[in-house]
Amino acid sequence: MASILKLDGIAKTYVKGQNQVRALAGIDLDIEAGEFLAVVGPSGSGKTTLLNIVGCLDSPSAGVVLYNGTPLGSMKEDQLSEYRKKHISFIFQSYNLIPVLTVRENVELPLVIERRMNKNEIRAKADELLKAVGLEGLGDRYPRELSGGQEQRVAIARALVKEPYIVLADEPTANLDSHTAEEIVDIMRDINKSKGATFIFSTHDALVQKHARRVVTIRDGLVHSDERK
Amino acid sequence: MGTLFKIAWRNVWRHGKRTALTIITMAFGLGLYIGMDSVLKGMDRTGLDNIINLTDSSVRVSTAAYEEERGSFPLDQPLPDPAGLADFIRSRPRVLATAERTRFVGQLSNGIDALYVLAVALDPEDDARVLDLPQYVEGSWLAGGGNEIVLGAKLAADLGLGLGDWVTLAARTRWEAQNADDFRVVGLIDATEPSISGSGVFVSFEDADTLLELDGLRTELIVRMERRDTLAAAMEDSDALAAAVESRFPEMAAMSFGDVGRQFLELAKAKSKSITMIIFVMMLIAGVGIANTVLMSVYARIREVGVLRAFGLHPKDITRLFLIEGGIIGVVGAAAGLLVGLGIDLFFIRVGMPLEAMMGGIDMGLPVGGTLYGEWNPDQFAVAAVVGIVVALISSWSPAKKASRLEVTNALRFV
Repeated sequence: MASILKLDGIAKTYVKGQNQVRALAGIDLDIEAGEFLAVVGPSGSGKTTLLNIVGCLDSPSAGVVLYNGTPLGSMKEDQLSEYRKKHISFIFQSYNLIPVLTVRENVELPLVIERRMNKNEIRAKADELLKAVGLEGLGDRYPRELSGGQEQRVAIARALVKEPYIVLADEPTANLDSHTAEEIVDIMRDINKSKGATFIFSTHDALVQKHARRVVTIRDGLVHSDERK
Repeated sequence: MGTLFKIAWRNVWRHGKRTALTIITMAFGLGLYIGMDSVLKGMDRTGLDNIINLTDSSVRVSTAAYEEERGSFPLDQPLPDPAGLADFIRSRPRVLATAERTRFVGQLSNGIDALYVLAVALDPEDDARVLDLPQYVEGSWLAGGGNEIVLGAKLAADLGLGLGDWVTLAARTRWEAQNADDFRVVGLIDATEPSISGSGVFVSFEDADTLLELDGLRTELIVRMERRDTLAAAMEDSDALAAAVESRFPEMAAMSFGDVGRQFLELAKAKSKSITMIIFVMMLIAGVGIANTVLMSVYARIREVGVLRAFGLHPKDITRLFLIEGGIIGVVGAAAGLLVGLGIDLFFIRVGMPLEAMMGGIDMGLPVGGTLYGEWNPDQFAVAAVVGIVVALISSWSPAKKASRLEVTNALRFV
């Protein structure tokens, strides 16, 4: 399978006051299209920083990220916005739904930002994704009217509605009970299989790790192990 | 833009109390501005109407020498040919009537107290064609019965005089001799011009000729012109006539109501500046309120900004989002301000402000008396709306830029 993402010597150092904190010390990774990859490691190991750099939310202090052979580091802010808009989606630990938008409007949001489809197409696509995550009929509710599990399903639908090449999920099940977490992982895996989207998620959850087809362990900012199942 | 507007609109009303407070501040400021402008415009209009209809008419003509010494109301500077002057003036466009007058300083006494007054000798019928004084008279307007006098109502009250009472008017004659005569009070005049109610004294030429030994001399000619729809047009007519008179009679001084009311108009300009200052201060307060509301909105939604940026929304769209929020507050606040202004205007235009009752008869130095009415000024509604919206957008700019410059990772981590 072709490499969709190539991380070459990625390092990240934060400056906090007088101190320098090294979050990543030189990560090398090749990620293929359609992978279902878990990034694991203890707190502070650099998982979230790695996801942020892959998602162009943060820039590395050293190293290169190649997306389909194109280096992301040379892009300007507007180009990075376009890259995120067209190729990447995010699922957050705290769901981060827009509280003033309904469930359907939240799911529609990436397509509205993308401006590729017309209103009817956007609505049809959002309803299709809501059905896929088991929230059919809840489109007119607001996030405050949902349970945590339902909110995360909405977040998954929102992340997948524009059919991105890469979905980045930062601790997607951390705020959910084990039953709901399993449901969410099942949904993600089904969509990974059916749509072919590449999933990269950070997690502490053994259940999630169990379902991953590749587990990359990070310690002290370096790849400690890279296990394919 | 539709979704940005939707997010902005719902967020504006998500914190209803905060938004309402900002909108109330704006509405109060703009409404007060519109209302004050209405009252001041009404005061200007009434003041100039008073000059035209009650004191000096559209154009007041006297000799240039008399005009120079006007403060002492000299009786030795009469109009050389009042009839010829009046014929010329009446031949000019838009002139309706003329009347002669002679003003003089006198002393009015009720037998116990005496007050110096500025009296006017006039032809009751001619004068009534030029000025509106008879409309404000309780009793009668110098019917020609001899030794009749009309007094300002407040002046009469100060001297304890009523209709039918007798009063003594003393004055220096044309030849500087002291003379006096008794007059019966036949009318009390209470007009919207405070000087008339407070010190107006009117006698007929018939009686003044005897008292002042005038031998038919007249010191002033006053002119009624057609009423025009706008003040500017009326002033143009008045200035044109005054210029024509001075051109035809170089020894004359013709004062348009704009000349007579110059001080008044200067005051109006000063008032206009002060109202501009008021709106500036009001809008500054409202602007701070709006900036605060939008800034609080930014802080409350930092993670939301992070999410929108993560999904590819450009920084300029984030700026636009918060500018739309400020704009919504501006538009709603301006609309509420116009409604408040409309209410205040309606009250002042229909009901008016009873100055006498409000100030308990204390002379506040206002150029008008009685009930002060407001005046419509649609331009100020437009100005208020535009100012409100522009202030809202300017106030939102800084918080909006701040939101667009947030680091996405920091925004997503924000709790």
